[in-house]
Amino acid sequence: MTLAVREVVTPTFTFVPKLQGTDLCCALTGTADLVAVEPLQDFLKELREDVARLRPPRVEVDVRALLFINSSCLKAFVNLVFFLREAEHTPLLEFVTDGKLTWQERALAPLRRMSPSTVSIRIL
Amino acid sequence: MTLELSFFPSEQLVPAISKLVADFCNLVFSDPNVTMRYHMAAQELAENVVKYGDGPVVSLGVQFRHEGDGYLMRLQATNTASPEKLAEVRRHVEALKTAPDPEALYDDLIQAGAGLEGTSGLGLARIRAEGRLLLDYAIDGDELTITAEASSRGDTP
Repeated sequence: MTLAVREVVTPTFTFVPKLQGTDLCCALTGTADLVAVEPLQDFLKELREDVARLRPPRVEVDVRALLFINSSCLKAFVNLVFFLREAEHTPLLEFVTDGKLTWQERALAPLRRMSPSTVSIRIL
Repeated sequence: MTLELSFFPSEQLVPAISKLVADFCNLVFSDPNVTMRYHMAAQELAENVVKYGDGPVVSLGVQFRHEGDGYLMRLQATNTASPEKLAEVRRHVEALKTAPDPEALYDDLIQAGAGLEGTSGLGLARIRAEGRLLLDYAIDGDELTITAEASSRGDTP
């Protein structure tokens, strides 16, 4: 099994996907602001295509090294939650946050409220 | 302490503007999670004035002052806009100002836009719900000013 979704590496943010056992994992680092919106939308679209193809039971999004996220990038995750929830195969979408950076959990909490049965937040 | 920034409405300037506000907040708050509330609000306001402003110059101001044993922190964003845009912002901010549960309204806006492409339209609601800042606005001719502020007693910087 290989991933079709491609990593995105720029001077200000990175989105790096990988397969870990049967789970599809990705790590976001840096600043997800206006500059990152389109690359993030494209990355998450490719990720959804891999989810449909590989049918992982769990998708992990590690944001512990994320320094900031704006509302447009949050909206990209809203759409990810929406499309995964409506899809034929719906994995558990688990965000991993840094417990010292409480803003991360606060920013992502609306995604969990949007779909509590398919979205969870793990605080490390 | 006051920081006033007037700038050409360019998306490329937003990260630098936002960083200046974050640096300002770091001078007065020791907790990075408190700083992040204002950093987030400044970023959303700066993005709004750049996206929706139709004049050659927009501005973002930050004001911090002690009030008793607490403080007041105020962000203020100003731009000019069309009458249609001004009316839209007036409706939106009034709804956010009067919402009995800002988090529920934020969630409703998220659900309403889920699956749709285009701008998020969530910035101000996020400032109110996630940032827990009070919002207000003033319109003078074609000039729109949006303020986001929080005051705290005992929650010292």
